[in-house]
Amino acid sequence: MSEDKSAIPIHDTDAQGEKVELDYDKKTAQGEICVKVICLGDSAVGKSKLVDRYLIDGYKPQQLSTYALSLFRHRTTVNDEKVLIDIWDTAGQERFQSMHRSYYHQAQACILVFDATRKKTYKNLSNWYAEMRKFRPSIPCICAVNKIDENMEVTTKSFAFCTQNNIPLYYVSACDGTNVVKLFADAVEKAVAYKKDPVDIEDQIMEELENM
Amino acid sequence: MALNPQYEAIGKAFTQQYYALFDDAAQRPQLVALYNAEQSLMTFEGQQMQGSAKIMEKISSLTFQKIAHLITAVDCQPTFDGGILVNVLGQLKTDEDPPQSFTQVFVLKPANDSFFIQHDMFRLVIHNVAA
Repeated sequence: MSEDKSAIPIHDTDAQGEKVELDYDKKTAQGEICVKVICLGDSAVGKSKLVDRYLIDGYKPQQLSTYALSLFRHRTTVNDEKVLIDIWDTAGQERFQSMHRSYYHQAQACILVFDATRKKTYKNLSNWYAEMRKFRPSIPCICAVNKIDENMEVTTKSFAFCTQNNIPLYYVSACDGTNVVKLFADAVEKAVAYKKDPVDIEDQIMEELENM
Repeated sequence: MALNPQYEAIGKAFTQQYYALFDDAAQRPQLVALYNAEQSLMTFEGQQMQGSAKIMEKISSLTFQKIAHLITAVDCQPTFDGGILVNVLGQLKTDEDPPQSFTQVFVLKPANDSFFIQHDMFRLVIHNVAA
């Protein structure tokens, strides 16, 4: 597929310890399912801080500065299956340019984040969502309103963008940790479920090829 | 018009002043004075605009709260119409983001004993396409 050329080469290590290009549509060299979860939202809504909080304590992201993104790699188990999760976070490039399409490539779930203390970041969700949907028409998407510790009132509100698009909303705080683990655990679970039963034609073809 | 022998000093002084204004949110609107109302062209991450009003609109639409430019190298050349070509290589840091490299090119055009920015091209140094 020509689109693959634009993909950022993220590396995996095979049984011999050699670096091989990681393809999120396949299993890793160690036989784990691998999923890619992307975070989207305005600058300074706390996307990186949420990931930090989820992975806890001194976890160092891989800074891919020439690609302007931060990659958080994490291994876990979902329903007794070993899963490698790459959480992709923008590194500020969205302040200058629109996201490169390779950011969306092969993503299996998306977390949209806005800030409970800044209305503008909620208004911009529809732009982020529309752009993501251009590339990934049917991947599961969930939404988080961050910084509820600074604005508890927000937890009593419902948000039209989420209800209209049927997107589950999580009230979270990267600062005190409220709902952060649940947010990512659900995102990962949805990503794995999507991977096993993809809706996009392109993904279905990949799945069929893999099972051949 | 002849080559301006002061090209190096002017180019460097301009660069310093430009980023000092840019990095201070209170003074950033003053950048408008460095552009011409019609005869300034900007290409910002591939997006083209003309005239100081449109250029300032772009600059003020950027969403960071804080920005700091750190200049690595400034190269200047005099142009044969008395202007100055300036190429800037540097890094910038916005809010809590990791630093990013950027490159910016200016053409300074002489007018009324001073200069204005006739051309301005800005790019982040990001290689999204695998080599």
